[in-house]
Amino acid sequence: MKLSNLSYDATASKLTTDGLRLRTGPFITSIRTHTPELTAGLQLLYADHILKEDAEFADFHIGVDRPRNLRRWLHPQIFFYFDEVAPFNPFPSEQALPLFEWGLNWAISQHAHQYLIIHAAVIEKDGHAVIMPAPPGSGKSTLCAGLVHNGWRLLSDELTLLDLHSGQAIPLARPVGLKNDSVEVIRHFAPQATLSPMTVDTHKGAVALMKPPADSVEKSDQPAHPAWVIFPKYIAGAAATLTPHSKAEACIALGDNAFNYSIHGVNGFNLLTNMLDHCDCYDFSYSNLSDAVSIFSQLEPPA
Amino acid sequence: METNWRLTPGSKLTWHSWGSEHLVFNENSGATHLLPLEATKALQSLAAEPQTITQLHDAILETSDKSMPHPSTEWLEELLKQFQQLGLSQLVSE
Repeated sequence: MKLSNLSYDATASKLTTDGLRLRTGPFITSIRTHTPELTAGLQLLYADHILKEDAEFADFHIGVDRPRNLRRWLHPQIFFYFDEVAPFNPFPSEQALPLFEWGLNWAISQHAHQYLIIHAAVIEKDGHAVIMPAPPGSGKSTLCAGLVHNGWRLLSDELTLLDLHSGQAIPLARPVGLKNDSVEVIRHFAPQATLSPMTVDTHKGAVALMKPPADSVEKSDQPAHPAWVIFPKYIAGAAATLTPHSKAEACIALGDNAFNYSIHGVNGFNLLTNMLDHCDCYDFSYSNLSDAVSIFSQLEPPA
Repeated sequence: METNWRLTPGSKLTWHSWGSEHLVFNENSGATHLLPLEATKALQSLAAEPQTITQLHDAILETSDKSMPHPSTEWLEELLKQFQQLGLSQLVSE
């Protein structure tokens, strides 16, 4: 059963009692909230995700709720809870939806050490995955959002999960975070995309979340072998250009972008080097999404 | 008498190369290093046995392309100090 099969009232009832259990990639996440904004946001963005039974084991127990003091009403704040503990300072209550997404990313990156977790987008076509590590402001999420509405499958916009044994990228299709001008760019480039209302004045600026394509969510049990590591960079006015990137430098960059490389030690090193043996690596500069889509469509998997 | 340099005792290094690019993972520090060819030769020579800078220099030259500029002993000394800072090598007297 998908979340879209549940009414708003039934969703809110689960969220305010035992918790709504959603399958998010390889994880089951139990969510509790009394916040109507988050309830509506989950209904919109996770409509295609599978609901699990109330009694089923959950990997993560997440809560997003207002405090039980004056700040519940006066300049209302909201807390993120992980296992009933609030690991962060409170946020303005209107940021409930992005806070849930940031918090769940944090929970996964701090606890799911059965994977090597890299801060990178990952998309797939014809069984071949592209890993795209990039710092904030590089246009990674915009590029990712554009590509997954043009023939590519979303595995993740933020967290690349690499299986330590198979080296495959594990799908974690969740909403794509778009910031500032990127929201309008995607609204025009992919009018079929479903976007959440804009949340302004966050620590990342104005943000909106894009619902993952239904097809990507449905294929959440289909991992993919990485075939390319591409470092994207938005440069105003730049032509879409792929430039070969050193594999050794790519390996260092992936290690630096991994949340738990140090935890895995030599196994993490071997995983990355073995993966890169079978990948082509590029820098990618772009300014126009249509051109970017065209370049990506011409990628040939390594022999 | 010239002092020997050696790999830091207990070091466990894992190597991976793509053409002229060489990576080494140091299990003691958990750090991954990207090394140029001559530095790779120096570290691998030290891993085989403790050596003086002169011996290391000779070992590197022996396998170097003679038509290319070769590294000086001063460069090698500086390299070993960098290895020392990274916990990869040390003077035998240490």
